Amino acid sequence: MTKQSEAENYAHMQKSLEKIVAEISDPNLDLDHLITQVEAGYDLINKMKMRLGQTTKKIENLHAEHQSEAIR
Amino acid sequence: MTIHYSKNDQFIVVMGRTFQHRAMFQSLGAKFNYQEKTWQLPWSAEVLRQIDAICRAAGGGPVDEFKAKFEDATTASLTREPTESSLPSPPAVYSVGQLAQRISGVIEDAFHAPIWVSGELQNVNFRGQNIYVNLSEPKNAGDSATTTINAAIWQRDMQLMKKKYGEPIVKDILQEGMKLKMLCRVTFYKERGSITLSILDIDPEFTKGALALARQKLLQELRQLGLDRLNKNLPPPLYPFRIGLISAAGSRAYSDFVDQLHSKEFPGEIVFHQAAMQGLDSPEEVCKAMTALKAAKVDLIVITRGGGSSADLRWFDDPKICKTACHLGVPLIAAIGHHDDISVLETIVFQHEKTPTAAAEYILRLFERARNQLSECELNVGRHSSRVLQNFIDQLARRREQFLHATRVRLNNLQQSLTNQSNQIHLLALGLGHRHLQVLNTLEMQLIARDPRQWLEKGWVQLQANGKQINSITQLSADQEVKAHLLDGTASLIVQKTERRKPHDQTK
Repeated sequence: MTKQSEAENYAHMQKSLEKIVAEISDPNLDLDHLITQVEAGYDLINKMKMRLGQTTKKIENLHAEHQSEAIR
Repeated sequence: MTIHYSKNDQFIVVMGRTFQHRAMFQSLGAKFNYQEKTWQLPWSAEVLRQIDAICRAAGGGPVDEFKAKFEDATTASLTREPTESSLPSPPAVYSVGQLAQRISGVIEDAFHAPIWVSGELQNVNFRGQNIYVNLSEPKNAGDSATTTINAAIWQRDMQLMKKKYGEPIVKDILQEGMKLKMLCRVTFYKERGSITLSILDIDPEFTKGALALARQKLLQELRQLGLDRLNKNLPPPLYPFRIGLISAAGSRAYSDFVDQLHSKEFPGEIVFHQAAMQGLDSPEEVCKAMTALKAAKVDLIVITRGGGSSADLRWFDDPKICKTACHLGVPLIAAIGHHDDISVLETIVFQHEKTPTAAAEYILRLFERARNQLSECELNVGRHSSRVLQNFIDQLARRREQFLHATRVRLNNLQQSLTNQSNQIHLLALGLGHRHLQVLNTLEMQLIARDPRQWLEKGWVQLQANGKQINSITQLSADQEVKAHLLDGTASLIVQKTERRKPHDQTK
């Protein structure tokens, strides 16, 4: 199993996203910064969705593989 | 058609052609002797008178008179009825001759007819065609002192007896030590002053009876002592490799026995001990041989003799031989002849065979039986082993099935458990993913809600003054500089005037 970088770690990404959401909740946030953060947030969301999708697919594959082993 | 009679102090015996007179004899109390074909009547003067009349009417009479007609003058003189007138008057002093004559007269008067005598034969001596014996009787039971009278069987009487009973029976009976009942004529020989009994006839049944009685008595004694089955009940030797043999030296019985065993490849050895099989020394020698062979540790002992008369069997009725055999503790086989009578020894021994050859066959059968038993044991062992082995195989197969079944069950359980865990993991993983997705969606919704681009694109601007968000008219005043943030840039604006919207308008 390859070791993931901290930036790719799902939990880290989630913390980053939560931080972004918290940050953009500030009404005095500079609009440009807000937009940058929102873009970063969407980027994280996409990555995280992809990771979740990959993980789900992997789980399904592993389960299917295990089921076929058990039948054999 | 003649009928004769003889008489003694007790009986009158009538012989001859008596058939037509049987009713008369029966009315006089007569009993018919089927063996001798004679009628026996109790003695009385009246019966004697009637019998005499019947016999004379039939041309007969007293047997003594009948014999007198055919025998020599000496014998004829015995038939004379004693009368006072026939006896000489006794002299004052007897000369030897007179005494002998007197004794002869007395004896002739007393024993004018033959009489039955019972006694034991001793010193049997064959001389020419005649047989000379001593007839004896112990004075008291168990006493060695005996009363003895000389007796003789003359050639003519012997021939009559052989013709009447058959030569073998006569030979069997006229043997040393035999108890006999004999019809004797008492003769006094004046020349040497001695009495001799001339044996005219014998009663074989008496002798047989005496022997049988002696046997019965001994058997009864052995039974009462609990000895009669001691030898019989001994266990048969499984392999009688060492056979003790008692027989006369150089006898046919010895060679028959040994030859038979060797012809059938008898694998053991024969330990021989000779002993007389008949005669006075026989009991002592046979007992000595039995004891010696027991000491030689033989497996069984065979006592055998070849032919021989049935009378010689009596030596094996000897109490000493029989008691030694009972206590011997070694199985005995008696093969001492094939006769109608069975000796006491043959009755009490472990096995009784008729001939030496039969005894040898019996021993060989013991070997054969042992061999068969061994073969059967071998088969049983084989069968048993196969059965045990098959049981082991079956047991092993059952254990294997049980093991496989248990393993399958265990594996199924493990597999089921793994499947359950797998499903659980699957569900948990999916649930976790779902929760993450929900969190992510929430964050996304929050992000979307805070994304200013959607309303900036529609022309909305964000006002800021002094770095703060302007979200009320009250925060503005005339001539105040404010910054308006647009989607693609920022404009600096000067407030010309402020006008607060009326509350009504606000509600709109």
